[in-house]
Amino acid sequence: MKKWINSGSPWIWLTGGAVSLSLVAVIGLLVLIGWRGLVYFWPHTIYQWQLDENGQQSVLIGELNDSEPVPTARLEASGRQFPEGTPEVLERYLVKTGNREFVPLDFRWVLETDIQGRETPKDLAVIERTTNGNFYGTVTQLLEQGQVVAGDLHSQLEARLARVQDLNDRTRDLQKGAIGAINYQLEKLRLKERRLELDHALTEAAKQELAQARQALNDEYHLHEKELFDLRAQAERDTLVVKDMRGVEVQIPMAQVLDVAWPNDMSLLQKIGHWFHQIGKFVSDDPREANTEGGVFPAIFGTVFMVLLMTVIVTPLGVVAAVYLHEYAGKNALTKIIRIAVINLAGVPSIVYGVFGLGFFVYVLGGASTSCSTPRPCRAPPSVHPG
Amino acid sequence: MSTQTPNLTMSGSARRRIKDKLASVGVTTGGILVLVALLLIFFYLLYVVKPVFESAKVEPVSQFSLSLSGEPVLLGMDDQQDIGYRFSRQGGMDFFSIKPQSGYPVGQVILHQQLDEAVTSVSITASATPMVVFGLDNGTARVVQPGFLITYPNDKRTTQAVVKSPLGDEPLVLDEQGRAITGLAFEAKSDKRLFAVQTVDDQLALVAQEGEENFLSGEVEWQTNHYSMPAMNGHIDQLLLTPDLRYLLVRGGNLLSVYNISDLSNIKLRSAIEVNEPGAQVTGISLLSGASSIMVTNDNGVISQWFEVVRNGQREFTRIRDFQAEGSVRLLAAEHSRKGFVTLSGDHQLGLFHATGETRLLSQSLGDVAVTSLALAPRNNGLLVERQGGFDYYRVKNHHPEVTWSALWSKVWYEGYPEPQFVWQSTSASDDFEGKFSLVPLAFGTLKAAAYAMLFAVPIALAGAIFAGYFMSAGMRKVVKPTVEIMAALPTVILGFLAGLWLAPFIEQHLPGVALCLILLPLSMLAAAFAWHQMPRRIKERVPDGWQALILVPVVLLVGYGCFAFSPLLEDWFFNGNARGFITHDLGIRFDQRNALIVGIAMGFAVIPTIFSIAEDAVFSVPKHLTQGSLALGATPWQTLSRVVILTASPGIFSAVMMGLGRAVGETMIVLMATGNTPVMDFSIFEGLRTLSANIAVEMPESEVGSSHYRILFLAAFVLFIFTFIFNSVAEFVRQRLRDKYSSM
Repeated sequence: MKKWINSGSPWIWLTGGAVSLSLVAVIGLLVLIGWRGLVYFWPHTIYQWQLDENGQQSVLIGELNDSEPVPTARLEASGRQFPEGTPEVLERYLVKTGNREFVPLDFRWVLETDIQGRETPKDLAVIERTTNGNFYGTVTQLLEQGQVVAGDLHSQLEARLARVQDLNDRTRDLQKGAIGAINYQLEKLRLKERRLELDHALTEAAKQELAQARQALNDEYHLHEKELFDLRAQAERDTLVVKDMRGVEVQIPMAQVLDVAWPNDMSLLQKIGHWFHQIGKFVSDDPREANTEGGVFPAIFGTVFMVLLMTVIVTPLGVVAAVYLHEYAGKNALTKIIRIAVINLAGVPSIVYGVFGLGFFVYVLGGASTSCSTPRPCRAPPSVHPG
Repeated sequence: MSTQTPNLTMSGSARRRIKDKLASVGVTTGGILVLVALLLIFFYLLYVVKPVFESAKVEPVSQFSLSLSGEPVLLGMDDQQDIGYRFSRQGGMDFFSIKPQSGYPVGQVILHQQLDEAVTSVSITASATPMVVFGLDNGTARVVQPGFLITYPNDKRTTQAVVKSPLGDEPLVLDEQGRAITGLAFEAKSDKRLFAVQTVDDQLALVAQEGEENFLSGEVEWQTNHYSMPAMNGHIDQLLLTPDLRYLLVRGGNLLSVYNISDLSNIKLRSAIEVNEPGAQVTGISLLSGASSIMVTNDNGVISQWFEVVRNGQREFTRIRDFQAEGSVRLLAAEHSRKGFVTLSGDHQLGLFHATGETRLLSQSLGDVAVTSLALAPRNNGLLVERQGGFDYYRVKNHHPEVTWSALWSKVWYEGYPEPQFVWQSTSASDDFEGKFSLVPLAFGTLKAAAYAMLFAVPIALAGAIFAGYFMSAGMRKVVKPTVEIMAALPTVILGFLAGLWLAPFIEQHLPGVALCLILLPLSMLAAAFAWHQMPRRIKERVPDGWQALILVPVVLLVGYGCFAFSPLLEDWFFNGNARGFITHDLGIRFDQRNALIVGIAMGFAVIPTIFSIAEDAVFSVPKHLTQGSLALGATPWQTLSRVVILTASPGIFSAVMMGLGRAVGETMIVLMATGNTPVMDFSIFEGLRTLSANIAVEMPESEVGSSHYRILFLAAFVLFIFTFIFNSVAEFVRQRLRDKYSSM
């Protein structure tokens, strides 16, 4: 033992331990981030609980989100009563119930002792909507103009969902494309008028010309508007009837439905497919409902765009500096100083760059460039408002 | 690095030579641009910070002769400093032009009014638009206010001077017996007005008007009540009411009596203090903006500041600090909405001070003619001086009086604080608020966060680097090194997010597990090493040297998992199921969920790859002939490592630690999200902190451009820049030296 210690081997092992600790930390961190992030997209089982809260029977439908142990004493202190022989610690479950418009909160805590039974009916569906988040329930009927649609529910639903999504896409294209173009033209006309006014060249003839152009654009707009309303009316044709956990049949317009899935009825392969489908949607969709639902595509776009722009601006400078240091620089003090400057540019905290960028580029250069170059009267730089 | 071009004769064409020359110039410029970029940041930060430390300036703009009758009691200007006004003790009210922009020739009287009654006393309220109360010889008083009506006919600003009567045109009856009013003080709030009235025989009384809004008409109805004051001993020289109507200050000679008048039916003498400087006589008292501080002026030039301080549960008026003016102080005018003031002392000596900053910003003679009165502009950027025969108008440049080097880095006694302290508190909801800009708590927080991070990172990173650089097989090193370096590529915002939202609650719930980990992890590694040592030789021989790290991975995982799995049990056994409660209640240590421990771990993670990578390079590039020589002479691998390798690589290791420190000091997102951002000064590992970088990130978006706050945030960035500049430069310098040394070995 003493010889072993004298050989220094334990210390070598300790340094080895540091490496293994670092490895565990790095890989653990990546696994943790991946696990926490990706598990969100997995199609979770939808449970149907039979609840008995002090004699009140009810049904609860939702996903199991979390669970935690609670000391019984704490629950008793908050006014709950338990029979003799209740264990000291009870389990409490957090259930995501969805159906935001019918419940005060779309998450709910349920106590272990209140649960009478739990099932996973295969026909429970999760319906993704454009407003009010997910809806959980059993799809009972499909209505077309208020009439029940016959035939296989699943295949009918799939076909009609595709139709509605196509209509919604066309609506959006119309709004962003044709109507957006008209708005852009109108804004250009307004600016033109303003420029003429500032140049004191706004004659009656010019006014008339502008009014004519405006009229033409407005006429075109009304045509598109009619088409838009027509598309919207078509999208409102179908309605989904869903029985929720209260046993009430709720009508959901198909135009609001983004996706319908039956996670309890999926095989593992289907679940994996659905998982990839959800991740794809997250990466490619716009956010909805104040960033609480939907995807992150704009953020990804912003990140990539910023990085590209930065690369284009900075790469020539960086490469030239590297070429200089390697090929041209003599072995003198200036080279040493430039090397130290390079290291410092890399080491200066990003917040200092942020402060510099805000002050120099936004307030100094930005203020100077916007103050007089627009066809409006000179004004204070737009950036004097902090933010 | 540079390659010397062989000195051959250029046989090519002139065009080739020109091209070569151009390329050379271009590339050299590019190289030098790097230096320029760094210098640009440096000088721009300095340029923004510089005005904070510029000294105050008072520059004469214009002079004009104008003789007005009576003894001046109030001098003032409108916001644009176009029109001045002067109210006299005799009831004269004059408005006159200061600048041609007023529409009148400079020095011309625009408006003159004179009270008909005999004025026996005057009082002026402490506000940027003051009210003047004239006490009359028949027991009544008139309240007037200088006012300016601004209109824009033909897009041109015109200001018209008026004398307003904010309390109605009728004289107010203050003494029902109709005696002459010899002393007066007045202050008003939106629902209460208060007069302190001194009548001929040094008797004091209070007259209060309390307003109540009529629900039907919306008009305020005022009800007047008279209250008697406790009997006074001696003569009364000066009366002063605080604008919050809580205190009445009565000065008789050097004795200042403070009455609590918040409850008018129960007026109490709070304190009576001799406020004079020993050997000197008090010349007057006045209130600073915010009305918490009383400034006492003496005839030897000493000005002392007093405010209430809580001592032994009692609020006491305490002498806080002194200022020195030249000559007897005749007049003190407080700055509006700042804690500065100007004094007039001697015959014509101007003093400009800042109370909290404890600084005399300026002392200057205003010509050689006796000055009778002076006034600051409402925005504190102009000064109007009345001298014999005329007026002088000055421009005042005093943008950041509260910021001095000592206020930033030493303890300051703020109003209402029990003692001088380091405080960072830049904004609040109230207008009267005084910004408290001490960089010490922030610099302390920065160093504390960096220290805990280094405490966590340095042992792991250096030990790991030594193992990876010296013992590890080449093939394994190729895999391990990039894996650890991946962490440097991980955006710190992710680390901060995880630390704040996942790690902080996790550690709070598993405190005993963390402690257990700290003890058991090294012990278990040693135990595993010993177990390995005892293994039969044939198993050991199958595993190549330098694989210890892999063998230990399952040990680390198992022990780590065990520690945290056991944590609730330990908590039940030793801490009654609540380790956090034990720390706060039994040990009496404050515990924040987001504390230095979390930052230490999270930022430690961020720093480990930096230190690991550079230190590993240094260890790995120790020349092999040194280590092999040592081994050949019979030294064990550990002896070789500790006596030869580490010694040779020590400059590189030092530079690695410096680089890590530089990164830890400047790190923003982790500390922003994982510390709670409270600017407290405490070494405790369980308390939060606020760093310079996080402070900039938090406050920059809400700071007003060009304000002291904005410039101090730039100063914080500059300090950060200097911190990291020093660490990085030293590290790089050492590395360059080391590289030269290795290449010569």
